[in-house]
Amino acid sequence: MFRSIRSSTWWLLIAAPLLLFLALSVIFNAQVVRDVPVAWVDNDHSSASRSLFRQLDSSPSIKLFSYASALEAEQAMKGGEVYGLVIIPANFGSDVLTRRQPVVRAVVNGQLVLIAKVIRSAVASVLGVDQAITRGLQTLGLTFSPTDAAFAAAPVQVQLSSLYNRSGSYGQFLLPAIFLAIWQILIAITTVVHFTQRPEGLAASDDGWISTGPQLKAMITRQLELLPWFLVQGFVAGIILFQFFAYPFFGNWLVMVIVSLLFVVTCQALAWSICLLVPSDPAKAASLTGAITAPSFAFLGVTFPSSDMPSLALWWRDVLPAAQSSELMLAIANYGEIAFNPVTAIGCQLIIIGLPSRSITLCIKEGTRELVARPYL
Amino acid sequence: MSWWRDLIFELRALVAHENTRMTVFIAAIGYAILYPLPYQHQLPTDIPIVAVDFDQTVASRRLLRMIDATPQVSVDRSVHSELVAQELVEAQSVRGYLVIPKDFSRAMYRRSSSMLALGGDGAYYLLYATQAEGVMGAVGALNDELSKMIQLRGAPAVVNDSSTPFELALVNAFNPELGYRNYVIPAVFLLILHQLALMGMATMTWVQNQRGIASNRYQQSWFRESSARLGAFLLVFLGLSLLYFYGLLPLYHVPISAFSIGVMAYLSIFFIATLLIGQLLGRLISHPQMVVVMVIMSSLPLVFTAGFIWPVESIPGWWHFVMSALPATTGIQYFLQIHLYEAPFSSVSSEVFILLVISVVVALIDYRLSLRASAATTPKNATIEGV
Repeated sequence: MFRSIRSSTWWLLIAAPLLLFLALSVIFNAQVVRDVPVAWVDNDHSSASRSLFRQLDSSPSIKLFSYASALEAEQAMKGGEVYGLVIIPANFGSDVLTRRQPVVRAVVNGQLVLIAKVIRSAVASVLGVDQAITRGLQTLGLTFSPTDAAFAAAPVQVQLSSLYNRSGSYGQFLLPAIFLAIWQILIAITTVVHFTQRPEGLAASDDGWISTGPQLKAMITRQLELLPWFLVQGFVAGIILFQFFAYPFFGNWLVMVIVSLLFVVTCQALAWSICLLVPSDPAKAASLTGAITAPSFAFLGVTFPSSDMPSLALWWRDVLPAAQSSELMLAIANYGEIAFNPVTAIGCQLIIIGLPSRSITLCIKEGTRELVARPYL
Repeated sequence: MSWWRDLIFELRALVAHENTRMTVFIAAIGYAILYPLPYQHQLPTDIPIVAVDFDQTVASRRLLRMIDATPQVSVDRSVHSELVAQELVEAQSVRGYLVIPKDFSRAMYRRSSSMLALGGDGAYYLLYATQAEGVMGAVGALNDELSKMIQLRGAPAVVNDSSTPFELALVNAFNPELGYRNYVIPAVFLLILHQLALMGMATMTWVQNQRGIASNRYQQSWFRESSARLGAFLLVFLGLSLLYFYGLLPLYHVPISAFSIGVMAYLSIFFIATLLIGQLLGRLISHPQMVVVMVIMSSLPLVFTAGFIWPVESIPGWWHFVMSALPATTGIQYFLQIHLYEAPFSSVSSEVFILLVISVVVALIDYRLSLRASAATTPKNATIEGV
């Protein structure tokens, strides 16, 4: 079992997943966005503006940098030094005292949506209506019934709570999906590499693996010897996510293992189909695998909901093992149960698993002539 | 004159070889269609939520209609307990629930404020944020209305005194509605071209090496060989850039700046660095499949290190430094600046410097390797000729 796996495949089975999982853990180690640089343009220099500066700067997600003019700050945003700017108008302090309601302008770089949202919510919560009122009351020392004032300012308030991700961590939101996308790439590409390798002792111009030995049995053996290693990869990913980062896991581990097993087999089947589709060319098979699996993160529906995707994207989604499994796996981890219909998800996976059987019958019926690898050059 | 002939020779080789042709042309078209597919609608709209309305009055129903009318949220149904609502969230038939307390409308008449509760599925965090935005917008509109009513009913002093000390005008630059299409496509397009350039160039270099082109055609001149191949690939990738950034982006309704020589000059330097790395890879690998595998594996770490999704400030500095050896890591951000934010060419000068350093270092290593390779093959050739 060990001898039949070549050294290049070993790299892919062990070194590559460790490297990739570690790399992404390093990138998202901070979990939340902290200290995003934002430009601060103070045209007033009063105690009111300075107090605003302190309050805004104390927000953990942003860090203020003073700029002399709005123009300079704008240049800095275009140059990527800051992701947003807050402009305090001249006479801000005196306008506040005389209740002329000066306008504080804040601009965020909307091109970088995630960062923009972080800045928006920080700025809005610090400079937003509610706090501004209480602060206004405190600083101006107004005397009237506080309940009336609170009511007049915001008769209806909303308490927001993010379920299943209480700290609002971006790591918990992104990392499991990224890991799943990477796992899918790893399984598919390793299977393709393993399959398209010629047996030892055959030169590049000799026949490919498919022409040697009994077909189906050889193929299945090759699949099965990789399977446990893929499961180990998933186990490592699970340890990183749920032990090291301690993301909540409410589900049953056994259910997770079963879904994972199905996921691995589906990915392998996908790779298998690709190999049979372009048997003559290992590099092309790898490219095709990349084309199918590499963009899959966008299709998972984690960052952008699948319900808002056009139907063409949804069809493509049905072919991706990770898209089906991500919903199942996230449900198991977050809600502790699979309450939605797992039939369609598993059904799609079974169809993908079934795909190669057609290729196999073709290959048995028409012989292996078409499937024999050509010389590469 | 002969350099032009070399260039045309390399261009022909690029088109003639099935793998490079597929990697460069077919894949470029395929990815350009596939990647933007999920984001065809700019924004998630009408995210379904469920209402838990304990109040059941005209006022609460009106609030629900207002929330339903926002583009972000749609109130799908109404249930009688929070538990049922939570189950619906777990079944993923809705993404969140809004609880309206029992005395919601009575509190309004009594002039005490009431508290709604929105619970959204934070595992899909951006969806949760969008829901919150929609609900807060509708509630804000309701509050404005109520304040006006209070003012009309004769307590103007209260309202005037408690009006906010200042107003906040919060604007989004470059992408006013925070649309996903505008967000993802330009950056990912450059990443696609970067990856295709690596794969294409590495494959071509490997193929030409196997064919013994270096000695047969270029008389072991590293410069002649590299410049011809680099020139050919650069032409092709600048052509693809024109197609991607000036043809397809407008087609996908992504706002871009007018055509500028500065952008093309920047892209030329970007691709020279990328292609030189591709050439080096092509010399190191034993089969083109290896480079395909490497490029595919590097895609996701690159996307998240490039700074357009996850801020560079939140990435450990050493990791970002290590990854900066690949042009896409810092190149994408600077490309957005010059192409989308219309920053002047001078603002990318530091990046141009980085890219030049990468190019020179990689070219030197590549040159040394080619010398060693030719030293290893020349004696063999000599003996063959001798025989």
